[in-house]
Amino acid sequence: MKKALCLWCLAAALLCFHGCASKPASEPLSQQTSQVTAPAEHGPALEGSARKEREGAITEEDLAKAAERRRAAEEAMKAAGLQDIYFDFDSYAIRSEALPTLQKLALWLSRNQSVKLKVEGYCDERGTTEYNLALGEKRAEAAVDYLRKEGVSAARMKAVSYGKEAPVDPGHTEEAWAKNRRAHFAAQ
Amino acid sequence: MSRLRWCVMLIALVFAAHLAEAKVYLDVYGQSYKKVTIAVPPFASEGGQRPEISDLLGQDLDMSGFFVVAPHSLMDKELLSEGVEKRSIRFEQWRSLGAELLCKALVEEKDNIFSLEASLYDTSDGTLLFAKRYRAASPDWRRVVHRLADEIILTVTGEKGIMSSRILFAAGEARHRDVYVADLDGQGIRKLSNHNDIVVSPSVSPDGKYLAFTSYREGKPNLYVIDLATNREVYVDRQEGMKVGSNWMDRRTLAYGHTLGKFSTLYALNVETRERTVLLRKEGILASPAFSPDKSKMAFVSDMYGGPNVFVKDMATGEIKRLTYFGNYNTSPAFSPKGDLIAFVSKTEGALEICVMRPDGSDARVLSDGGVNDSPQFSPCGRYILYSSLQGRKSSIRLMLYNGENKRELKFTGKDETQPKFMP
Repeated sequence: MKKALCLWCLAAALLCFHGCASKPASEPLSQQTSQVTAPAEHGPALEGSARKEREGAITEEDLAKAAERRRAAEEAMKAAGLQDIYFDFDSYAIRSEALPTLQKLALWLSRNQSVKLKVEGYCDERGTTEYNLALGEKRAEAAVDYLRKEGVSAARMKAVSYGKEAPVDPGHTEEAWAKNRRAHFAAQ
Repeated sequence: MSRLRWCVMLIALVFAAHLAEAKVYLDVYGQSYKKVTIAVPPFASEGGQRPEISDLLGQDLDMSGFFVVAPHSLMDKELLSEGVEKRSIRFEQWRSLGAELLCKALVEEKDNIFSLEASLYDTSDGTLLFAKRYRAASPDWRRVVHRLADEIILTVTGEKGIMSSRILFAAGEARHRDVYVADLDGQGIRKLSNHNDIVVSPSVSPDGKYLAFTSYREGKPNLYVIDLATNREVYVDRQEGMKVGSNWMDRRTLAYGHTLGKFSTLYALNVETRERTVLLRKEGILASPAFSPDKSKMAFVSDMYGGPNVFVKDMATGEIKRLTYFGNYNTSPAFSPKGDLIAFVSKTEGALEICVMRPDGSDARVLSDGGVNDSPQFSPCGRYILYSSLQGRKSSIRLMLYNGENKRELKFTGKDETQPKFMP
């Protein structure tokens, strides 16, 4: 048990190192954004179409980099074993088996302060659209609440429900339904 | 023996009287009624017969659930080419086919104007039940046929049909969806939104001015209200949390649910003054507000006793009453236009079924048969229920009489279609 904990600490430390290493790449990016968009906003000196072009190009590059950063963070989360947590039918109570995942996630977030988290709530297809959308919100918020109690700042987290509108498994079996009753953690 | 004969005669008399009155009523807890057999031979026109027009009328009457349309294969050549004037109609021939009613029509199309002169006869005595003339621009000939069908349904059942209705729904695949409107027969499909993302719960204000729906276009579920004439957003609720389940209380007041944090709130929003009032706030989940026709009661879904159930709030006294005590999953309430029924969805063993109950929660009955059914809505006349049904892999829109008979699948976009409503 102690050994496992040590291993986790090691893994977390490595991840932290990884996070730090990727930080310089992300910080200048945000500076770059503000530098470039600021004159675009206040500078009508540039000709309309040219400005548009420049803006467009930079936004695209921006988006690509942001997507890249998100992908890297997601991969890191995956590597850290930070997977989805699952719920019982028509329930938004966190199951006990989900607690280790949430604790691990809280620890990981504490060491990757640049990462913002989108917590997505999902439901299986055996429910009605509107109620499931509210249920998914409750599931996502239940996970956010737990993470907050573990010390993650609420400002870094956002809950978004997808109800039964975007199932990860399109199947119609017990197994598929169980997979779809989940909260998913996406790095932003 | 003679007694039996008397009985038969009496029944025949009653039936004749019934047809002469030409009314077919659909019972509320739906004893089956006898369908009326109608013959719709190919309509005549100068350039020859126009079977596509009479076929559409037959299709409409069949869809209504009140008619058996006599197949053309039963009619011989003479009957098929019989004239439209009353004196040339051999009613005994039509009677011998089993037709109780006969619809004859003359079509004329000139200078891009389509005109239709239709007559409806009772074959038992040749009584003319009605004669009408319709005119429209040629491309709108289907609308004319739907109007004729609705008129025939009015004559026979005492209430206008729904064949001229348009249906509002959400459709698309995965994260590429939008709000659409289409004629009941699947024609005239028009996209009302251009979000190309997850789009749910569309509803249009009673005067047809505003469209409300929830969309993920900005990365989270926001509630949009659009002015359909100008296509401009007149209101967007961008609060955190889930904003969904819109339903119009009057021409400018939209009710919807908001779930965030510990509480859920049902709001009434005046989309013109942007004034927003709280209809109800409670811990847990509140969803799907729906109003009785006189707006004195609001039905809604809450999980305050565990699973979701349908409740009703008296808007004057504030009293809240639970309506559903069967199973542990009852959602999506909708009042009938007379306020005498509430349609809802109930989870049974392995299915989500469309049900109806009295507004006090009594007399609940299951109407659908299997699958994942959702979003029941009454037609403005109250005789039909529109709903979405997921059977196998695909969700489509269905229509049935409110006693559960005459289930029909409606065909529109060919993609997944959900949450239908009758367009005001």
